[in-house]
Amino acid sequence: MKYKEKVKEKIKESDIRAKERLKIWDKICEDYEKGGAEQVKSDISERVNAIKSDFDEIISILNKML
Amino acid sequence: MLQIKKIKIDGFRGFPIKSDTFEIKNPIILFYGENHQGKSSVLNAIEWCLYGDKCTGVKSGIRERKDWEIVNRNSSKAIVDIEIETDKGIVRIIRTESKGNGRIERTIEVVLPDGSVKNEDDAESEITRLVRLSYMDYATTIYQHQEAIRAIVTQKPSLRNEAMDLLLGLADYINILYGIKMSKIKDVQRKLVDNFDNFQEKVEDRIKFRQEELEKNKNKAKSKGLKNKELNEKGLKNYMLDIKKDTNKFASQLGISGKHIPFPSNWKESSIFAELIEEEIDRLWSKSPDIKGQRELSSKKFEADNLKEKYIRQKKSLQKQKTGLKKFEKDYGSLGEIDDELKNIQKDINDINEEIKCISPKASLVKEGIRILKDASLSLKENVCPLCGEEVPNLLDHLEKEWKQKIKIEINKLDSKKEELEGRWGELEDLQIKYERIVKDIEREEKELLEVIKDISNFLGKKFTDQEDPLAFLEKELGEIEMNLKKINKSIKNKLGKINSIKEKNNKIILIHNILEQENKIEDIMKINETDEYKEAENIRDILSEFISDIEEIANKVRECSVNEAKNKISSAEAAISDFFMKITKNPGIKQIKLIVEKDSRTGGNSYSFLDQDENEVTPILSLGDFNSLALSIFLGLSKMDSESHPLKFIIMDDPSQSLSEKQKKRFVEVLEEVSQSKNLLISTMDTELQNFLERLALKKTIYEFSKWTPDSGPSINCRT
Repeated sequence: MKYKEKVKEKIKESDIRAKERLKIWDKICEDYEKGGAEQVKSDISERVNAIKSDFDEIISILNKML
Repeated sequence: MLQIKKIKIDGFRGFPIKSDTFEIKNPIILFYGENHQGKSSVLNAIEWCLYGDKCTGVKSGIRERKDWEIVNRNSSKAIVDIEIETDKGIVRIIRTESKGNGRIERTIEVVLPDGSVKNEDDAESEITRLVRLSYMDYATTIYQHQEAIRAIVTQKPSLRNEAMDLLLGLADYINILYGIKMSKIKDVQRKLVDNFDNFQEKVEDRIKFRQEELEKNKNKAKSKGLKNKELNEKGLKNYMLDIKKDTNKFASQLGISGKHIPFPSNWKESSIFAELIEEEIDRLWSKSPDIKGQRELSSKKFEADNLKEKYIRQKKSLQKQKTGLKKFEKDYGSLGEIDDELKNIQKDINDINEEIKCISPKASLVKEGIRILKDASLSLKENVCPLCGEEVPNLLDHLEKEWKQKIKIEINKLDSKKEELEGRWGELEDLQIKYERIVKDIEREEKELLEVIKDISNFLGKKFTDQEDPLAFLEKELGEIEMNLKKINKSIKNKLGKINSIKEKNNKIILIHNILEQENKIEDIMKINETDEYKEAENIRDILSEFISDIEEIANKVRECSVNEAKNKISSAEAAISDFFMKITKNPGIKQIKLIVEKDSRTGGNSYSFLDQDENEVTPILSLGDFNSLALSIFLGLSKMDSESHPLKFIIMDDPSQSLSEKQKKRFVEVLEEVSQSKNLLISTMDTELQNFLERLALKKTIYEFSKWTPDSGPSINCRT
């Protein structure tokens, strides 16, 4: 069994957010096969930065409400 | 079982041109030669032909393969063509890569024993079906890379764990964990949490600031006479009702109809109401009769003051001119006197002219007489002058000289007098001009005064007789204006009191409004965590936290799988690894070697320990050669254990004896002899000792000697069997 399936099985063992984590893991594997560790890094960074950007925007609105 | 039979290389890495065919017939194939002669390229060619892109770049798990060039720099196309013997016959695999015009083109073709041909994806699938081994497994059980040994031998002990991971084929786990680590998601989360904390602090600060401002306004309200019980909506409403009444009353007092000002439906509109009241008060005031009267009277007073000033100034100016004339007459006489003197002077000049005229003919006559006397040599009483009576030697000459002198004196006297008279004449003419100028100035000033009087007349609506003094009338009018103005100002002062009272109430309305607004704002800020925006921020924070927690959990699972896989591999190959290690090293202190893998609590990665029969860590006593032997033992052990899971009947070793001693090499070759019973060995080395030991083996072998490599033609290869 390859790394992808082995980790997938491990994730499935957990009851907590297994479905969501499997989705994330699939994306990590897809990125890895496409562009190695660099691609994994850039995709995760992009996702967290997008979330942070949404957060910054809402904080900016809240600041104006003070 | 699969056995490689032939390899042809063209344009691949160390082979700029097409090579001879490498035949793989014997149990041991040795590629021997110095460094950079193209030996490793043969082994790489097999790997690349089977796995293509998977064995290139950093994702191969080999750092040296970053920017690995497939096509030789003196060639435009790399072709590797290998023949593999299978149970059903020969399978041929041809992989190519060409570069040109900045584009890279790749092809793969598989020719099956029945002659059918598969290309591209179908060809890749066919190879996977045939080989049944992932690249990572191939790299750890079939192909012992020289980099793997170099890493475990030369790396610092702290980095040996990573080298062991690679040796065990765990590069995928390691690379993915590295990618996750480099994304620095924790830093982003920390920043986001900090931002949220800062916002919370800012909320507290704003509440404090607003409360201070509220307190200031309440104190201000108190100082303006407002009571605490009035500082609410009810108090505000009462003030607004009151002020509306006051404004209407004020309008009716002024006799002006007031504008309708809508009463606010809630306290928030009270500021607009206050603005409208302010505007209405200003409007009423500007239209009030008192203000209008004040404006008119002020304007009239201004005009009268101006006329008065102009009249006085003009009068003064005229008086000054007249005084100037009087002084002139006093100094130089009147115009008539000047005229008279001029006439007299004229007469005197005429008389002198006449006198000069008379003297001149007489002088001519005398002169002529003297000349006649001289010509006629008239005998006069010699030496006695008839004119002066004196006795002279030459009487006629004397007479002539004497005559000239007397005439000259007389005429000079007259000329001098005439000159004097003419000078006076000029002075009198200047005085005449000056006099006339003064008179003209007086006439102009009088005209201007008349103009001012006309203006005063128009202003007062009255015509003046010569006996009347316009200034007196003007001053009387001014007095009346000032009296009326005083009356109006008094009335205005009274009304201003009312205006100020309304405005003061209006200010109180604004003050109460501000207090209510501040109280409201404080309440809003205090309830900010109940707003949709705040909940959204919390939600985003939780989403990020959840995502990061998912990623961390996935990373944990990756580490778990990595350590499990390492454990499984070590567990299944441990006996073989220990056996090979003992055979190669013959270390008397070590009777058995155990590999223990655990999760490193600090890094989260795998941590390897090498223990002897007494459970003591052996790494402190291992030499470089021992580490090299350990790496080879792990590779051979894994290779032995894994051989049932795939059909490949060969193993490849690249520069395996890097740090081995001569004895270790000899024993290593003995181990290889044992391994060659079940698998063909393809070995690349520059090590002469190893070559000698291998040549002495009583096994069939093919030796390819590599030498004289050039960039244009590649290696010169000599084949011996």
